[in-house]
Amino acid sequence: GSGDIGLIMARRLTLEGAKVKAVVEIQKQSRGLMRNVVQCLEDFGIPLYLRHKIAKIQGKNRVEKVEVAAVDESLEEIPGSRFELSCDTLLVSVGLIPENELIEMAGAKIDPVTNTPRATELNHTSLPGLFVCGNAFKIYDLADGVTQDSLLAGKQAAAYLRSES
Amino acid sequence: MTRTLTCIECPKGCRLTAETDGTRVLNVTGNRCNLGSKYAAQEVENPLRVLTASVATLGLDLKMLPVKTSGPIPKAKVLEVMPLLRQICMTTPVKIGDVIQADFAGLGVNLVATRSASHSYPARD
Repeated sequence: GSGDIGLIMARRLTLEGAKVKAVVEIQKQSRGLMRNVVQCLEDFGIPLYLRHKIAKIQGKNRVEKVEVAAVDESLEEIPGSRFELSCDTLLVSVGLIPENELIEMAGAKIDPVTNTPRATELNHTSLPGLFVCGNAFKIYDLADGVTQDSLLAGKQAAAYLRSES
Repeated sequence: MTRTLTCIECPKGCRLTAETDGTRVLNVTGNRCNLGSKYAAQEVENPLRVLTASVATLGLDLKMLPVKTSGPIPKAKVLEVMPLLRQICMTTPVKIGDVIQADFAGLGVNLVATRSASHSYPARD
């Protein structure tokens, strides 16, 4: 995965002494910031395989190699495109899901696909007076989105309190 | 000659085009602010990077202390100086911004803490 987390981890592992053989991305471009593609991959000469996926992991007690395959627009493997990369570690960085176990325990309705609260209005939950914001509401790419979302959620919570009194 | 590069000064990542005479930058286009033209010149002539990493601790409430260089260092030196960081072990409390090592690796920048850390157990009186 070549989202920001995958890219940054490629750099971090390289700085800490690992040899990062490749970053494999199933989409036709990285979803991470261009600056991270530069600072994390180009700076260290780490190849980025776009429209590729890990088709198989080989190894007995430890990862020994992976088989990488090219994919088409429907993300289906292109026959005959497989190649091997020997390695002992595979880092899987394929997206974040909100951590909402607390509100689930409180009894709020959760959408099982996105793990976000189900409600009729943004930042609300099915429990009156309980609001969520930031990544608990929806995964944001940048902290700026989290901040904006949280400001809106705060305003909604304040409006709810006013209407209650 | 021209060279295209991506600016890394902010998340916008403007696509820059730098006209150079081989060693020096003559003109930069594609930048949406002044940081971009400065970055392009620096990147062509002498690429620099701020190094961010973490160092080991003992007895503190953070297992690893995040650090950074107070200014950018030559990109070519980044991997080279990493072993020096692995020799550091923080045992006394630090405040964010504290200098961990002055003139780190003789590169003219300081290594500073980017978080505060205190003792993991209350200090005895």
